[in-house]
Parts: sequence; C-alpha cells; structure tokens
Amino acid sequence: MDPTLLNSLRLELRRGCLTLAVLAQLRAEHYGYTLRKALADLGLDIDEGTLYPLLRRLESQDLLTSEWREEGGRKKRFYRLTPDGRQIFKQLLAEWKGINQSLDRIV
Amino acid sequence: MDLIDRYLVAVRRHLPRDIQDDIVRELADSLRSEAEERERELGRTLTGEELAGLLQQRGHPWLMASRYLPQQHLIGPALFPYYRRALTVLIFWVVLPLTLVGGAIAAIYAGHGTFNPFFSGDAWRVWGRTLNAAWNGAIYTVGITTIVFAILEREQVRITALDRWDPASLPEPGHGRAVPRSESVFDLIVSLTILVWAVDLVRMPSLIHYDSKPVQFVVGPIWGQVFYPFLAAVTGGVALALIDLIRPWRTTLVTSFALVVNAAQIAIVLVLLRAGHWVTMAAGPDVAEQASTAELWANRSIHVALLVAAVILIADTLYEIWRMARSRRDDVVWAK
Repeated sequence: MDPTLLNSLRLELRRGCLTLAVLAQLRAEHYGYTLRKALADLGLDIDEGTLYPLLRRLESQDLLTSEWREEGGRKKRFYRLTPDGRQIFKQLLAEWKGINQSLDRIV
Repeated sequence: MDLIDRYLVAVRRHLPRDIQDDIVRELADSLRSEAEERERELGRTLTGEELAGLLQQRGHPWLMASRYLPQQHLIGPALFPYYRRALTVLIFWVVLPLTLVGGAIAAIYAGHGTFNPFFSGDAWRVWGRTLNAAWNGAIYTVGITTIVFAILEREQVRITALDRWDPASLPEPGHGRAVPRSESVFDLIVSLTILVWAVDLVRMPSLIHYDSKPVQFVVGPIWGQVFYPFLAAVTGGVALALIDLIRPWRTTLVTSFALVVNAAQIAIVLVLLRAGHWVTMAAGPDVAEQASTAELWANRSIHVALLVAAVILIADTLYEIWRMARSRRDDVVWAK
C-alpha cells in the first residue's frame, strides 16, 4: 500500500474533525498550549502549525473570540466560542453525529 | 539568545508585518510552556539537543510561517477546472495553430530578410526562430493565465457561467457528439465569407492604381476551372453549419456529410495548390517592376493561405474521424 496515499487520505479525514474538536474544546476558555494539550490528552494530537492558523481562521470567521491576559508571569492568548460559534458548533455536531450513524450502518 | 528565541526570530522574518507580533508572541508562549513542562517532568533543564529536537518537530521556520498565510493554494479546487480548461484552449487552439501557421510562413519566406528580419537566414534558422517564438508564447500564455487565476482565487471570485446549464441540452446516448453553437456560428460566418469572397473574386478582376498608374489584377485560369466545385464545397460547408445550428449534435449521417464536404474542400485546395500561380499583375512599362514584385508577394500570400487552409481542413477531418470513433466506443461502453 502507498503510505503517501494513506497519509493524504488520513489528513483529509482529520481536517474537518479537527475543527469540530477545537470548537468543542473551546466551549470552555483555553489558551493555545492548554488547548493543544487537552486535545492530545483526549487522543487528538495537533501541531502548532495546524492549530494556531486554524484558531486564527475561526476567529476571523467570528466563531471564536480571543483576549491577551497575563497568567503565570507570561502573556497568553485565551480563546472561547462566540454565540455564533456555539450555534455553528451545535449544527456541526448534529451533522457529524448523522454522518457517524450512517457510517456505522454502512461499514 | 536561546534556541527558542532564534527560532522565533526566524519565523517572524517570514511573516507579514501586520501579524508578526501577534503570531510570534503566541508561538513563544506555546514553545516555552512545552519546554517548561518537559523540564518539570525530567527535573532538570533541557539540553541544547533536546531543545533542538523540540523545535525540529515544529518544522522549518519558513514552513511554520507559511502556514499562517491567508492563501494556502495558488488556485483552489473551485477554480481549477476553469483554469485547466482555459490553458487547454489557449495552448491547443491558439498557440499551436499560430505555431503551425508561423511554421508554414517560415518555410515559404525563409531567406527574405528584406521583407522582415525574422525571415533572414536559411530555413532552419527561421524554423528555430519560429519554435523559439512559439515556446515563448506558450510560456507567456501559461504564466499570464496562472497569474489571472491566482488573482481570481485571491479575490475569491466565483465563476457562475455554468451554474444555469440546461440538462435537456445534453445529447441522448447514441445521438452523436454535441456541437457547441459558438462553433456552428463561427463555421457559418467563415463559410459565408468565403462564399461571398469567391463569387466576387471570379466575377470581377479588379483594377488597382500604383503611383496613379493602372495595374490590372487578373486571376489565373485555375480559379475558373475550380469555380463550380469550389462553390458546391463551400455551400456544403454553409449547409453543414446550418444543420449543426438547428440540431446541435453530430449523428453518423451528419458526420459522414461533414467528412464528404471536408474531403471535397481538401481536394479543391490541393488542386489550387498544384497550380503554383494564382494572380497576375498587368501594368505599363513604367510600373512593371513594382507590379512584378507585388505579383510575387500576392502569389506567396495566396500560397500561405492555401497551405494554412489545407492544414486546418486535414486536422479538422482527422479530428472529426477521431470524435466519431470515440463517440461509438463510448456508446459501446455505455450500452454495457
């Protein structure tokens, strides 16, 4: 089997799931590092090069809001869902559950 | 300055000015938080090698910075089919035909540098220049098309031309290939123009003036010999274009008719080519030399035009045969 093909398909599969996972995790406030760690602890590794650009994109789409605050002697940027983000998250979650149920029946 | 600082400076260098500080501050916090956590786990400070390993996992600074850029692809999947189509049309229907025409002109006018410096030198040199010009044309075409589509992508322009397509316009399987109306209209205009031009040319040998002296423009006898077959073949072309307009798909019957018309047109063009001399400029002795030069160039131009017509007609015939074969093969696959 072609490992490059598998990797490419795996990335494709993960892309949408990562957005959903980040939105889910940001129902509670997090800063970048704790968000990444929380996701990793739950089994979803995501590197900075993917996470931070994703956070910026979601913020530019008004799904997230962020603010710089000092914690532990360092300035950190805290993220949380906006009301729009919550709405979209609910709809995406319903969509994902539907797909998951269909897939369960298919495979 | 430790390795993390050096990494952050390097990342910063590749970021747009307006987002540099924001991104680097956040990345700095993330890297330092992870390094500190590792140190807590190990109960000691990280060695230079361990720190380097941690940074290496993040990727090259330039690569890391590039992920923050707003545009991650030059031409996205929505525009890519249009981009590929535009390139195909431009390369195969503009650059390639121009190269063939240029090649034909080069072959005929080689050695006539006084007419244009492009034609100086032997045929090989002129061919070399033609190929070079074609290559440059192809590169410019690809480059400019890519830039245009990259700008459309950047500006998030959406092409809606094909959104309102009509499924009823699709030909039924077995009814042959669809002929675009633009192609039929173009063929009709070309055929009618040739028809009008041909009738006019044979009926009225014209009189032109050179330095106020009359020069008689006399068409050669070959035009009279092929006049009626020529008229019939071009009229066949007009009829074919009209059929295509009314019923825009080529059945086997219509394709056969198209091949007969093309074959007749090719035969006439070949007969005309064999004549070798098509017009004569008759003039008084005071402008005889100029009339002779004009006659030479007029005949050369007609020669080129006939060669181009022959190439286009033969290519069109081969294309029609290929499309007919493919259409049949597709129908067989469909039927299975």
